[in-house]
Amino acid sequence: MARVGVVRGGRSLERQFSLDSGHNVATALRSAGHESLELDVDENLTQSLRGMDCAFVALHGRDGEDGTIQSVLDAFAIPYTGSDRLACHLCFDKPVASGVLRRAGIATPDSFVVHAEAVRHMGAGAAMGEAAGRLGYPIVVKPATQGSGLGVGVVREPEELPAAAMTAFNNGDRILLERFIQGVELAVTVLQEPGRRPRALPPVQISTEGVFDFRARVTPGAATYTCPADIREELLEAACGVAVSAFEELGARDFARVDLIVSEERGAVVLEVNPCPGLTETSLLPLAVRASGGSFEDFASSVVDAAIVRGEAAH
Amino acid sequence: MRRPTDPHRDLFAIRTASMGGSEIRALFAVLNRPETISLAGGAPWLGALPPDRVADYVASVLATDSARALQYGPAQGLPELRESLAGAMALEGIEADPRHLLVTDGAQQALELLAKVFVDPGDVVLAEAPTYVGAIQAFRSHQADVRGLAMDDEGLRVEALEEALAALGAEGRRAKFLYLVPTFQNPSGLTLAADRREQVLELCARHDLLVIEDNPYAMVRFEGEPVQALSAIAPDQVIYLGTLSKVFSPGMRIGWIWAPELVLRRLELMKEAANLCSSSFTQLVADAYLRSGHSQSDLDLIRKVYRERRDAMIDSVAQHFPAEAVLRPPEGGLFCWAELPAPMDTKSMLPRALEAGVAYVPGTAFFPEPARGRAYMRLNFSYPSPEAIEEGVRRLGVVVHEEMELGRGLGLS
Repeated sequence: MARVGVVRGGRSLERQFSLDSGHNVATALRSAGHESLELDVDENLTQSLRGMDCAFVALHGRDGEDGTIQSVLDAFAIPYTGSDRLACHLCFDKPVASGVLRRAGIATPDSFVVHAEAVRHMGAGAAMGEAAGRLGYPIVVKPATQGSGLGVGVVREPEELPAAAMTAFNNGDRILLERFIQGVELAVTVLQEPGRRPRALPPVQISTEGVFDFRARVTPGAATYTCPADIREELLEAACGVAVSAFEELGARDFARVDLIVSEERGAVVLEVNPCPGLTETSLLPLAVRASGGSFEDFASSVVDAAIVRGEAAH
Repeated sequence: MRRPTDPHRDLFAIRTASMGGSEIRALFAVLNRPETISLAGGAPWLGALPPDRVADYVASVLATDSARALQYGPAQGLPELRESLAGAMALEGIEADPRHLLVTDGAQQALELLAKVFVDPGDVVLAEAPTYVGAIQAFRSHQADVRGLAMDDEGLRVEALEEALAALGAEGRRAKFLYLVPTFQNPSGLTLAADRREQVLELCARHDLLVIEDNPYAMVRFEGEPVQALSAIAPDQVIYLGTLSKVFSPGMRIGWIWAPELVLRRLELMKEAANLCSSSFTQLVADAYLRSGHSQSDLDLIRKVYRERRDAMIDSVAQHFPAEAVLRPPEGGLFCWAELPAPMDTKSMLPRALEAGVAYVPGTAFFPEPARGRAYMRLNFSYPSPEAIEEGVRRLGVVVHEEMELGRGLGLS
């Protein structure tokens, strides 16, 4: 039995998801025989975590997926679940992650990055339409560092671009203009047990009208999840293979959720890798765990065990 | 087997598909963070009501009437409370027979029961636009077609009502009722002008249109002269909704409906089906409060505090918002309604504001039609302290200026 501090909540706009994720994790760890304590981000957090055998990072977005808390945990040699600070940093920054994956030969959508400062001071706003035109409409506009589909929009006509860019900028100072990829949206959970190669769980297919944005995620009935996904077996296998490669290229650890679009024409295209994906009762990763015949309790517990073993090895 | 992961997906009633609004709620999880100042809530200030005094009411209820307080009660509500509530209405010039009052769990339940009694799927309900978001939700949960009517500084525009009625006539349809929050409306803070009240009631009488008067805020007037309630002008045309949430405690969940006998009997049946009765315990505590003789002096204190907070908000907005922003100082109630220069979009801007540590409710939440109200935001002044209001509005001012600058760069303005 371990004493586990489940860090959840936090300052990000994904706070509600994180509170729910953390509670689900803490409950699962208790059923698995661990002692778990739910902790929020506050001035006592570091001190509270120092008394724990392990930290379970269930913080989404800022502080949890950008390497911030991982740096704290590394500094104080507190074992923690999930990816390390470098992998988090890479994954959290979508343009950087996309660049790393492309260099490794993994397909990601063509895209441009626009900085708010360039719009304010360099006249980049006026030229944005031209860049978007080169990508070809429709395009996806999204913040470079935000989760849960916050600030994401699909732009079908040039005149919709400024408002969509503004919405994305309201969620971060850099935005991505990305080619819209037609196909089936999949969320592939990748797990890595200690000493083994990462493996993909059955992909969850996401069906929604329009884009799978924040609204679709929080509005009951706006998105339908099907697992296993209802697509050709070869495509599924390709998606799983690409997801595992993306996980490895970004140096992810323990678990991550890789979001992809698959189609007959383009195969599997990676949209993003989430080092701390939703872990609520209805989130995609727990769905995939159950679909693979596993239990969320075993998942949470094995991730904690792996973190503790890592911690012991480091000493 | 390949199948959707939600096993109940095909079982849900169609009416659940119309329930939206989860987006803002999900973002507002950050409101309980210490660094966030919320101008988004709708909570009243409870400082006028010392907990010790509430403890006295509770103790007296348990000492004298515990058998009833802890037991089921009549669906219509306890007779002595109905009498006290009719007494509160008399202060507003409304002569209500306590036998025609039904006690509800807050006025929100009154909205739900009215929708249950009057609305079939697809029925048209008319309302001011903007209007109280909880009313839109209650009516929509019964699949009402809620149509918004334009307002100006004097409240609902009579021509907008005329046009809507004419349009319905042309469709061969009629509206089930007109829902109004005529005094210090949530969200706009606007009050329907006295002469407009006569005109609206006259027009409704001509079209045989039932009026629902939702009146939570009239007692919280801290400036100007009272305007007669619609229910006082035309009691036969109007169903009245009251609440103790803004003058006593929202935690007690005491609201009520005053309606004609035949409507009331149906509402009572629906109330029974919904929750048998409101809590006997809180009804008796509320009645003890209303009979204590403190309510008037408490209300005077509430008015004084709200006036100071409203002033803090107006002064801060004048100082920190762009000159083009419009804010009409309300003479009562809990809210200011700010209009930002086009093409500002307060819903899109909300994440930026939350990141900056301040929350408001985007105007879009209060319009029945999607995409309307983007230029507006509702700011609450009843709950935050004057210092919090000042700092919150300062932060919001920075956000608005940033947004305008970026908007210019993007060619939006």
